[in-house]
Amino acid sequence: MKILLVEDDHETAEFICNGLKQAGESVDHTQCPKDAIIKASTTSFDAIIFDRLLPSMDGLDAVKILRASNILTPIIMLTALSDTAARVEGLEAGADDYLVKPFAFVELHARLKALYRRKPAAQTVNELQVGCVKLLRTSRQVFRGESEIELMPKEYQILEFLMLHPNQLVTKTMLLEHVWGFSFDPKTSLVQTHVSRLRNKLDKPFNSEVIKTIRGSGYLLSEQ
Amino acid sequence: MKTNTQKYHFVLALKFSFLCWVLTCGLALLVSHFVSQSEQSRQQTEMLELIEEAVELYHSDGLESLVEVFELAENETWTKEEAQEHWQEEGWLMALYQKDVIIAGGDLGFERANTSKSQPQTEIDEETQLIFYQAQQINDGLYLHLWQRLDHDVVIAQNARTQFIVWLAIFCWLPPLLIFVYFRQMQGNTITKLSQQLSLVAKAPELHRTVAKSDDPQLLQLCSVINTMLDEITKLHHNIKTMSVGVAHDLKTPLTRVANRLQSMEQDIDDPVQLAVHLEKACEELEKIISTFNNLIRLNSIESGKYQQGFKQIDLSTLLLDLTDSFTPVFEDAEKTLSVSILPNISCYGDADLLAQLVCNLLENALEYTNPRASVWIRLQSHSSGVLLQIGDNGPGIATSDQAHIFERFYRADTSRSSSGNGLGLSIVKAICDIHEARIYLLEGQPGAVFNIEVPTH
Repeated sequence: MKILLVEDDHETAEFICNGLKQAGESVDHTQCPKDAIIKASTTSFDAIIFDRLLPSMDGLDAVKILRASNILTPIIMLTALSDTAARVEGLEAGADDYLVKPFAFVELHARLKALYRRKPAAQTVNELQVGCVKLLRTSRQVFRGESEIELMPKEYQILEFLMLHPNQLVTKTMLLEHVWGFSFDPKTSLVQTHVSRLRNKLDKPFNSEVIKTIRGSGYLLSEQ
Repeated sequence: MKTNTQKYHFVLALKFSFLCWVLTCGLALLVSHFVSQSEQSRQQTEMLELIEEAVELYHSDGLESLVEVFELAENETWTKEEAQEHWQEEGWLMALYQKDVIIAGGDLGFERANTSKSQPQTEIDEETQLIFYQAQQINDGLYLHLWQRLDHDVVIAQNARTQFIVWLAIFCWLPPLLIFVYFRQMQGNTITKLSQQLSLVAKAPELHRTVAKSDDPQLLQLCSVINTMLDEITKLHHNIKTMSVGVAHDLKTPLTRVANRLQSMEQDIDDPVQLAVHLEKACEELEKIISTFNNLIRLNSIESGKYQQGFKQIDLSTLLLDLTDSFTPVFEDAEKTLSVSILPNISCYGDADLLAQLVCNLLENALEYTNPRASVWIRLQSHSSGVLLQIGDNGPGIATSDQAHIFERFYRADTSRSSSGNGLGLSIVKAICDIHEARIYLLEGQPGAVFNIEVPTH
């Protein structure tokens, strides 16, 4: 992936750059939002990471300018503002995702990958198939191989989200945001409990794991 | 300080008494003037009536009757000495002129007007006495002149009034000055006492309150307002204190653990397996710190009230059913039961994400602080003035001594702070209730912790 990072804080920039380089991605870093607009318009990036609070311009305005000039590169906004209003503001300006500081690098990377691989049509496709798991969105039916699996609503939603992002790390926060619509992190093992129930139905009877736990980071739905 | 205060009060008293003096004297002068005026006009009217009567008599009965009105014989004229004597004794003088020859009465050389009917006139003679003069033409060439001094009684009354005003002017500033000084002194004393009390409060805000020994309702109210303010400040002060202790403790423990892990990593630098364990544990501890800060930021953001702009009608029944569906497996795994009794189609005005967090925090508390096999319930029903949400458990409950503090930031009933929470969960719940104008309270006399939340439906 070729990523443009717009971040004025030196430490954070270094942390992200090092992480991305180690993950094998290529990063172009700039501190200036105007510079970023020029770069984004002249070079094709796979994703842009935009800090919300930049010295010369609000990151939000920069994103608006980019979207107005028809640059559709996926954008993740980084911010210290965690409330829903700020999140909605960011998404309305044209950002594709919104990550609150401080964050774990795996979280950022997982979100970048999710954005990069997101097929625009995926949200409207009626049938999802990852390996031997099939999900029919109209009838809300789930099959593993030939056998149908009965799922509770939340389990179904988790599986659907994992299937929309196959072979990618999906973090607990991503699930909380997309499945529960929470902008806060409950103390309890809400996500773990539901994923574990989903696994009991999807993996246990077949003695093979399609949902893998990445310790301390999240979950991954693999194709085998 | 004291001299300044005295000077201030003295100047104020002087100003006040001067104002009283001006007002009193002015009023007295005005009243005296009007009384004199009315007395003069009464005398003039009488004089006019006398002349009219005399003229009438002349026309009906002749000159003889006219002079009889003035107790004179016909053709009786006075010499200058006689006229002077009459003027001095009686206070009046008449003269009847035929052309320029006096045919009755006498004249002291006062000014005369030979008009058909002159207006009553007043003048002041050398002895500063007020003289009224009236002339009347009786027939062609015959003129009646009448001079009259201001009545003696009236003069005496006027002099008495003047004297009274002079004495008033000399002494009337004293009573208001004394009264004012007295009241200022009284008030000044109370205020001085109040400031003394307040200076004590500055040293120990928890111990001292103001007491006004006065009947002045304004002062009593002031004291009451100051005390309420002090209570509020003491509460905030206490909150800040607990909060600093909370922050310090909640950061110190995980930070110490991180430091310990880093030291262990240094020791186990050649053991990759141990190194990974230390690293993971250190990350977990840091996550706790970040979570504390996130909660603190979240709490401030809720309290700032900006969420209220995004409030809309929320189907509370559906929201709660969805949440309880999510939480039921969590309770099952913890071997506890969650019983749900939610009436359908109950809605309220608010923020769905915040209301979800409110329920989550209360359910998580119930999950954390109850014994195994405890039962927890959530009920939603309509209420007289809105919606009643009840979340309760049959666990150990909250000690009476802790009940008043549970909504305070970083307050924990468990003083050892060994439980996993950060003491912000219920503060967030309270803040969410506050911005929804909802009332939250702990039911008394219950075996466990039962929270009632009354949400208005408007």
